[in-house]
Amino acid sequence: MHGLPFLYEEVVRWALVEVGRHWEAGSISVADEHIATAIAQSVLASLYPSFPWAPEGPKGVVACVAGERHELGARMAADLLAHDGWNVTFVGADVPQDALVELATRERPHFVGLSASLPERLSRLHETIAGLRKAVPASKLVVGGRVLASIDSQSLDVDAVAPSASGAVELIRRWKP
Amino acid sequence: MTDRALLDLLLDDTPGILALVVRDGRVTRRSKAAGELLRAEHEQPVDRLFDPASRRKLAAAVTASPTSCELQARIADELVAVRVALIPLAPGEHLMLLAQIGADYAEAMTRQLLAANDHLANLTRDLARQSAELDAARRRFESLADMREHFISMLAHDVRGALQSVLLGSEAIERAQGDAPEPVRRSLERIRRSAMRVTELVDKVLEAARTESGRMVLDARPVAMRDVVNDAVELYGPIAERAGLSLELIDHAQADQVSGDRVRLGQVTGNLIENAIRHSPRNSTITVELTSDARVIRVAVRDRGPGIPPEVRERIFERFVQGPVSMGSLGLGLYVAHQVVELHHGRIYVEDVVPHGAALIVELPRAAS
Repeated sequence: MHGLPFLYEEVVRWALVEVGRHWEAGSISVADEHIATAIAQSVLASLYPSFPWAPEGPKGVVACVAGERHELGARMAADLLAHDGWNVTFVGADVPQDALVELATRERPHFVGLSASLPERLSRLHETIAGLRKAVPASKLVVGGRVLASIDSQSLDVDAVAPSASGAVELIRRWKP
Repeated sequence: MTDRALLDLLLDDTPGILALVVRDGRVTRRSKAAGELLRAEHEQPVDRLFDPASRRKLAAAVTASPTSCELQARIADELVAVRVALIPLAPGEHLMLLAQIGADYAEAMTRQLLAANDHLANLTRDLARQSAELDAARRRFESLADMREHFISMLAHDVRGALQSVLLGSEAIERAQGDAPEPVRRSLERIRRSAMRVTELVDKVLEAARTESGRMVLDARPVAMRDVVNDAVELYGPIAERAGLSLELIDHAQADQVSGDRVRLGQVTGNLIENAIRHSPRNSTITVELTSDARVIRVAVRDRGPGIPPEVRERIFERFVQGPVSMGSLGLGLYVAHQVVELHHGRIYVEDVVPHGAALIVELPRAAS
């Protein structure tokens, strides 16, 4: 692994895992954790102007379900997918279901990636999946995020479940037209 | 309730509220809590209640009132962050409401800041991605323009070749026939004129395609517009005459130097005259006027035709748009003229001629002397 995937998977991701470990051990506060995440966001944002975007690539949409504020993992997945040749719109955190369905209806993406961290978002996740299935039946649906650790992923009406950002890239690559 | 009654209620009957009335920088009334916590005294300068670093901010806030700001207040000999609202009561008099900034407030601000940071990252991402999409669209457009120019060039080349054969063929027949009957000679002449006309049209289409694809390269050097205009009038004089028109040159220019491409500027002047010839009634006069001022050299071509209605004036410089009376042109002459003038950083526009007619005016920046 080298280049952007290396930076994302081997540097930023492990830095955040380390921050999480410190928080669990009580050696940093939740405020420190938030600042660390903000720094990681800014580091990624600083790469965007020279990022190898794929404007001619097949379309994808990545979003966090309504209420979900943890967006860094979804952003990393969206960026790695863009690096893999997809033209990915990243909608961000806490995306209202109606807005996401409207965007997907307009863009007709090949796939929609949904991210959720906390188990409390599960009902919203189910509702959003149902809404997208109805509005854009041709789009593949994939779910990622920490919520998967606490549920039976078989219960989700999706085409794939991504274990990680790079795992999402591997899975979604199969759907390239 | 009157303002004074409201003030009395705030200051005297609202327990815990930190409120002061300040006139000309001094405390004139205070709530009980403000007296106890801030130790605000009657007639005390209000800025003494705050840290020296906050005093300038307070002075600025007073002049901008009504407003609110954050200041460092002295409470029980400690510096405490407070949010202060300033409400003007009368000239030089303010009601000052203070609220301590708690940990909740700082946390809310931090949350807002972090959310703004995320939002900024999203915006940066969207802008960068959309900029890449625009670049890709531009490249697609350029390659389409290339393909179109290539196609038009090939077509033009083939059509010109075929027309050349027609011209040569008609000349050969004319020579072979010697003294052919009049109807035959007239037909041969018509064939020759038509072939030449189509050749001209093909050249214009090619020129327009080249202009549009940004391939037109100017050979820029000092040009005397007087020479350009004289040449054009000389060239088009006989053509105008054959159409039953007279072409008149009026030269009032003090200066005539521009920086540009002489051939292209000649083409612009020629296109304007050609356009005027097409729209002029027989036996009328077309004037070509050269003038100058401190900034520009101006060439105005005026005809006595039907004029150009205001609603189409912006559009006549577009491709394939003709004036009110189509006289068999492709509508490319003014388009090419507009493009060339733009490349010279000049402008081209239309004015009315009284009692009727149109003036097409080109202004070109004067060359630095």
